[in-house]
Amino acid sequence: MSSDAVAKITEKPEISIRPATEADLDLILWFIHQLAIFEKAPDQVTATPDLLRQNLFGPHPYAHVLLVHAKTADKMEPAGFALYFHNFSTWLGRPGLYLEDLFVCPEYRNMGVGKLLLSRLAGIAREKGCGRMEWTVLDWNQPAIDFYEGVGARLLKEWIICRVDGKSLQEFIRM
Amino acid sequence: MSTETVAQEKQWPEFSIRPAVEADVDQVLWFIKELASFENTPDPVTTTSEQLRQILFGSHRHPDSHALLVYAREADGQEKPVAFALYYYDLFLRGGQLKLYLVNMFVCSEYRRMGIGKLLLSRLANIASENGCARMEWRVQDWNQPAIEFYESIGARQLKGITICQLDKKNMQDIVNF
Repeated sequence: MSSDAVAKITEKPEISIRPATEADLDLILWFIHQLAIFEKAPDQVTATPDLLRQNLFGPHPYAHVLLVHAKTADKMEPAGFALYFHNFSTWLGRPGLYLEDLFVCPEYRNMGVGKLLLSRLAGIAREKGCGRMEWTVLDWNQPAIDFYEGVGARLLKEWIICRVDGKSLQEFIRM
Repeated sequence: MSTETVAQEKQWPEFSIRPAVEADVDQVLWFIKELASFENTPDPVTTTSEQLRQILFGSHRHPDSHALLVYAREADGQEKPVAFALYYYDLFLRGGQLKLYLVNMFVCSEYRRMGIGKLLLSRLANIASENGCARMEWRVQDWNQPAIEFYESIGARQLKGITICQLDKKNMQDIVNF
């Protein structure tokens, strides 16, 4: 898919969004690290370019990535990314779009990049006949919470995520 | 996968778990509706048998989803379905690895507290491990105290400080038009 240029925001860079390709692996990994740093969990990243290649660009891609670039007079810089995949709702019987990661570089925040990304994702979701879009937000991330509520998202406060990994996953097998 | 029988205490029925096959679609849908009723969801389940068939058995299904059914064999030899689990594989990017996501799990009320939850989660952990998953995840409602206590007792972590956001079709449509 070729680059989609969005109408220029006056005195701001021109923002474009495109699907990532295999050539973008290092950039994707860089974004993942940036997001982990922002979420105060920089040690959590164990993804490698090979694992990403396999899972994003292999014969059965598990997820898709959108990349945002900002173009000024003299350069084109990465400005943000979104990683998403399709899940489904057993209530609706329809696919859903799950947004796993969304990150905008600090110097490009408050310029509408988040809105553009969500808008593109909502378009993708609609094309695929998705009944809903879902993601998570950290409770201390007030700017994000305000933004999401502003676009009509509901916060499902009564739901708690449960997780089992590593050693406890092994113990589950032996229960 | 062949049926695996697990003997329970004398007064309990014998339980067996097997993967759901296409002929089980209506049974799985019945369980989904029972679960929705238990969870007090405001909107009714609108999924049809055909949609569920596509989700679980469609050749182009994505994500790769499956269901397990638990049967109880009573003293008279009758087998009846008493529980189910529905799951799929997805990616968690930080690890670059797969996780098994348990979408739904439900045990009929008269068969609770007989170890079915443990049986199911143990089987799912096995499946997760066999399929290269580094993690298993699911959700629980904060008012579901018995479930919360059960999950804590078997060592599942509850993630604090993180909230799920959801955008429905109408609001999605509004955003497309930004």
